[in-house]
Amino acid sequence: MAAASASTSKRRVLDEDEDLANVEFETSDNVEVIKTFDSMGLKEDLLRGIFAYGFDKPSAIQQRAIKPIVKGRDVIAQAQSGTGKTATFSIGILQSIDTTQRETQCLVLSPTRELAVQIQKVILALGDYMNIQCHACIGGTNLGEDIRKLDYGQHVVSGTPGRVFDMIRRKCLRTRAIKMLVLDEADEMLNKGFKEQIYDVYRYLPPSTQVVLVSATLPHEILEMTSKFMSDPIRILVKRDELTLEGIKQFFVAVEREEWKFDTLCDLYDTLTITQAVIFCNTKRKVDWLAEKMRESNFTVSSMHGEMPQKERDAIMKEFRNQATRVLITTDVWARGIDVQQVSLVINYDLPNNRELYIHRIGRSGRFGRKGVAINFVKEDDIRILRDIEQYYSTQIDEMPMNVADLI
Amino acid sequence: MDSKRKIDVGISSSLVDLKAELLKKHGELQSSRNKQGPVPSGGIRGVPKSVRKSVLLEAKNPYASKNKGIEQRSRRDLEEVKNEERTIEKAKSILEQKAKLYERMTSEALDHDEQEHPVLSRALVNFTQKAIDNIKEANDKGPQQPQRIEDVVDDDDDDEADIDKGFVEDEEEWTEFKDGFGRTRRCLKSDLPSFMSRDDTLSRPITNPEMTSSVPPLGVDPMIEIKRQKWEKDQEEVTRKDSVHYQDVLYDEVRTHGVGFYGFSKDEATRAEQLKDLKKMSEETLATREKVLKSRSAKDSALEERLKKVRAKKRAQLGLPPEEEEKKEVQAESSNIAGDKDQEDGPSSSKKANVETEEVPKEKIMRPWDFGKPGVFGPQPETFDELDAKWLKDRRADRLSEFAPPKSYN
Repeated sequence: MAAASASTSKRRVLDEDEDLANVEFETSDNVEVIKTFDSMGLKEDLLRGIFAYGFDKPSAIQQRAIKPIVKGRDVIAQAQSGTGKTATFSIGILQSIDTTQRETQCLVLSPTRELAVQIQKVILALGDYMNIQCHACIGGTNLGEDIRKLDYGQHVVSGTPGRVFDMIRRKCLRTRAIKMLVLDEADEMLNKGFKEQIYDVYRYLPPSTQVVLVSATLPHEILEMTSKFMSDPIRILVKRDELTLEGIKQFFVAVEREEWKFDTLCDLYDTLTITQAVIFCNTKRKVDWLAEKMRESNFTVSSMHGEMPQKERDAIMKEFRNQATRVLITTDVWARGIDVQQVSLVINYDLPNNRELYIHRIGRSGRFGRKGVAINFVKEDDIRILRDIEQYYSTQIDEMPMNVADLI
Repeated sequence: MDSKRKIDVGISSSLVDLKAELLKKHGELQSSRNKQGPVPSGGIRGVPKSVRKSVLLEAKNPYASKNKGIEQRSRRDLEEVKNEERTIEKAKSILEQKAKLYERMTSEALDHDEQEHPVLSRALVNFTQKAIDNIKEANDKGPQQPQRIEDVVDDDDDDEADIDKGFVEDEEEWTEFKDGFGRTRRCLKSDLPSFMSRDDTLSRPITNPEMTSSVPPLGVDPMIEIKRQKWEKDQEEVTRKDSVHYQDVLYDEVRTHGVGFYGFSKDEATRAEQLKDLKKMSEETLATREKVLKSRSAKDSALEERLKKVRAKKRAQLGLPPEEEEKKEVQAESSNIAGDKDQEDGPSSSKKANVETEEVPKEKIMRPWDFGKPGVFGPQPETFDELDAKWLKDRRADRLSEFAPPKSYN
């Protein structure tokens, strides 16, 4: 049935009145599975980059999604956190690009500046042997620098919607050669806050540009609206009961009062510093407060949120990636996509505001097959929310055992 | 030298005391003479022995005739004064000798090992230190010597006043200025600019650049601060560069790469060179691999040939006819191997063909969001107000009625 709906999607797109709310989206039938990078027919220099970056066998999403992207199909790719989605579309992009033509051919949009910078890094790494030009076009940076870099000619631009649109309007970012638009964390990008900006950018792209959507979470309403700007997409989806990873163990600590969370965190500090840990709070103010309180108690922590100046955010990211700092207290600005291999512990000091964010937050640990632990601090009335999450994703969240350090 | 002067000062100050005492007594004497006429003989007794002769004589003259014993006594007094002067003279010469010795020792101290020198090793004075201090003092004073400066506020030191007198002769050459610490100072007019400049550096708040940069804001690890500065420098370099590569944006990230990872140079020319070398190396590897394969297959076929000959020989010995089938099999096998190779290449080439065949008929399907772009005609896309209204309607439809606002609100 779903296959039928996918194959008749052309007609469906034209038929505006059809109600998609009742359609169940499933993975497309005709998805080919290619077991090795060698047999994907990729450029030799790209293959070198892939192996040098540390991939030797493609992950499930890479086995399925790279080929259709390279073929020029519209693709909706969903996969569990930390399973190589960024590399999937990066490889697709690098294979499609003509490096002799120094013009922007691919545009990648992501919700946070840090993520845009990280994607630039991945593309540069995988394309290291191809001499790829990739620019991170993000807010909070020098406008003149952006203009100069874009003027020099960039094969790929990875950015945040606001600055990218600004550059397009100023005619610094020429769109006529763009053949692919990638929306990373697509559900966030098509959410209320960003949707309009995505639309603005889309209107400047050549008609019928290839569109690739990527995310670990793709709620139904997002899939519904894809027909507005995608044609006959290949869908690679994951059922929500398969969305949590086996490698990430999830626990909760029940506290009677909010103040006890702090004491619990202090008790856990030694566990946090075994490798690296990320602590999530729901507000910027709480991040500041908690970081201050930890420092007062002589614990070394760093903190980051969206209200800090970009330069400071940058520096904190570099420190954390360099392992100069081990514990990071942050907001949901860090929830999606950020990849630091050594993060093995995530603490939800506050429970996230929705189910999707829970998946993204705990996905900061357990990167690409590594082990991870997530610990949720819950007050009595929060336990219900946790049980809901547990049920929704058919996963298991147990009370934290004493030997939690052994699991990291 | 110093010690000599000190003794002089001692004597002169005691002399001043005595002078004062003498004048006092003199005054007393005069007032009592005015009252009683002749002074009793004991009156002069109080005059100390060290008082100078002239003063004594002056005091003595008017009354000398009146008292016989006084002359004798005064002669004794004079003798005593002479004795005194002799001892002082003696002490002076001894002290001068001592000063000379000290000077010699000090000058020698630097040339000899303190422990080995016969006198220095036993001396209680640290001559070596003295010598070093002297050099230091000379260095400090050296360049300043021509520029004389004096504190206007406190110049009651006799010695300095004496020296100054020599310089103050030409008052017009001197000038006053206020230094950075608010003190009024005097100096030669010609020296004023140099003093002003020195004062400028002195009065500035102490800002050692190294100090300020190495003392980080509270709670920041100095190591991190150093790293931050390094990354900032790296970033500046990246913004200056035209082509940015992975190494430029790595910023010392801790990351496990593949075994084949190669950290290229950040310098564009070196990088190009490294890339070229790397590619050459991989080409060479491929060539050798092929060569090895070829030689192995040649060896195999030679072995096969010999075995066949042996077998044929055996068959001939047994009187059987030479075999034909096996040859065919071998041929088939070898063609199979070739076929495998073709197949390996095959998929990619056939895939390429596939891609081409699939790409050619790819028609451009216009989507709702495309309508209205140049050259694309169709119904205008829904406005976001409409979309939002629909979204809101949908969410409200999802909502449990008991959580909805009362109906009367609609």
